[in-house]
Amino acid sequence: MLAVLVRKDLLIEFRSREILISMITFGAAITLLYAFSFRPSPESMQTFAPGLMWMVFLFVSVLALHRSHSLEKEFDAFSMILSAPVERSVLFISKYLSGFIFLVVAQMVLLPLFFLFLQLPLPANLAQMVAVFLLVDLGISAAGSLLSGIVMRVRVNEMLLPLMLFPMVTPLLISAVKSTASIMDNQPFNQWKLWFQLIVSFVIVFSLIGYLVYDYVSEE
Amino acid sequence: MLSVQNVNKQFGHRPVLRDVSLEIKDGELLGLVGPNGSGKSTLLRIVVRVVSCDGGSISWNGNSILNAGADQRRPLLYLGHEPGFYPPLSAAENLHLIAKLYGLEPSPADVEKNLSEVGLDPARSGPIRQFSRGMLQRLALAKALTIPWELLLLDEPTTGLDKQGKSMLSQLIETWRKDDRSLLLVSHDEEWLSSHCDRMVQLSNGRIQRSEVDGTKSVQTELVEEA
Repeated sequence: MLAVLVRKDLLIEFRSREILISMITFGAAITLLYAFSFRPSPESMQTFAPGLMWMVFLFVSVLALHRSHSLEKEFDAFSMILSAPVERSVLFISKYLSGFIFLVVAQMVLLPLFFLFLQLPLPANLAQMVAVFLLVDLGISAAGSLLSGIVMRVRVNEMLLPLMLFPMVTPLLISAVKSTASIMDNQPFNQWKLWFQLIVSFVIVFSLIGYLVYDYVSEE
Repeated sequence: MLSVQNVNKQFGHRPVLRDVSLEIKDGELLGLVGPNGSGKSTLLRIVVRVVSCDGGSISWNGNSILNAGADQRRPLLYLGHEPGFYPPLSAAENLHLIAKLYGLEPSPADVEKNLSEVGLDPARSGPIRQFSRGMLQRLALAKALTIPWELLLLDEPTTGLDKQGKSMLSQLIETWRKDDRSLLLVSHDEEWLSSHCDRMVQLSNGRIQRSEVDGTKSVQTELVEEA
């Protein structure tokens, strides 16, 4: 059932191309804005870059998280799914995974642009960088899918989602920025292990909360 | 048999359903009538657990539907007031997807047959975003032909249907009646409902006002509760 639901989200995106195009366009526009607004030295740019980078991805993720649930509302397909013999926890995981996939695909396009336009050196340890990015994406998607499910029936949900999401993911983002900065600085893992552990904890906690409470939050 | 016992629902401080109880026997066609805002659609949505209820119990063949696993909803099929499809997908893709949600794997020929049966062109591959209200309603009926159900809950099924569509719906209902299947129909059109249903229940201000038994079309009214 999980595969059916994730495939459904991907097929809808393949047909409509609404989520990825808006994510990439918006992300590229902010990246260009950063590139042409700041003219610092390469050293100071490397200090700012992780923070700027995660700000872009947080804004971009809101587009995907909001759209994935608002599309369910358009012809009230969400009621159809809720009334079908589908466990709501599985529905949450499907939204969580499809949000994660959209974020990863958008990052695959935006990250090279970010490094190129901000003239950043590639980190020596790419595997660590990829691991941190994937985990933070899981964290954003877990918290965002849960909140998106909660606010989807509210009239001003497009405003409410970022208002609730940004404070909630602040610990995750601080850890992401610290970890990314350490990787770009070639620091040994031991020095930023705590931030990495914080990211892992955030992912576990929000994945479990979403899995357990989505049944209640999805009903009107 | 569907049994709804003392169901209550409030949206904020506004009570929508107050101690609603009703039963639908196997093979029975029950009509639910009432003015706008009387709680008809909410009751249907509570039965299929789209909306939570504040009190009471709902069971299907003795098994509770509330707080039960998703499998308990398998015998029930809800066709709501809104179409319940994905606009970017085609009619066939929507039907195929919904069948998969019910654990079915219908062949393209089955899907095409069901689409043809409700008067939709199976060769039409465009997104259903371009469909009219009537076409979406026909597609919803194709869903009822694709999914095996024991109780069908239909909310305003005549909305958007033209004369031909209404006649097709009437034929389908008669076929289901002959197959001894249970239906819960909600409509504003009391005349249309009474021509199809075995029994009618009227909701007003969230309470059941009267239950009518319409055996051989000679209506016998039984006062259940006064407002």
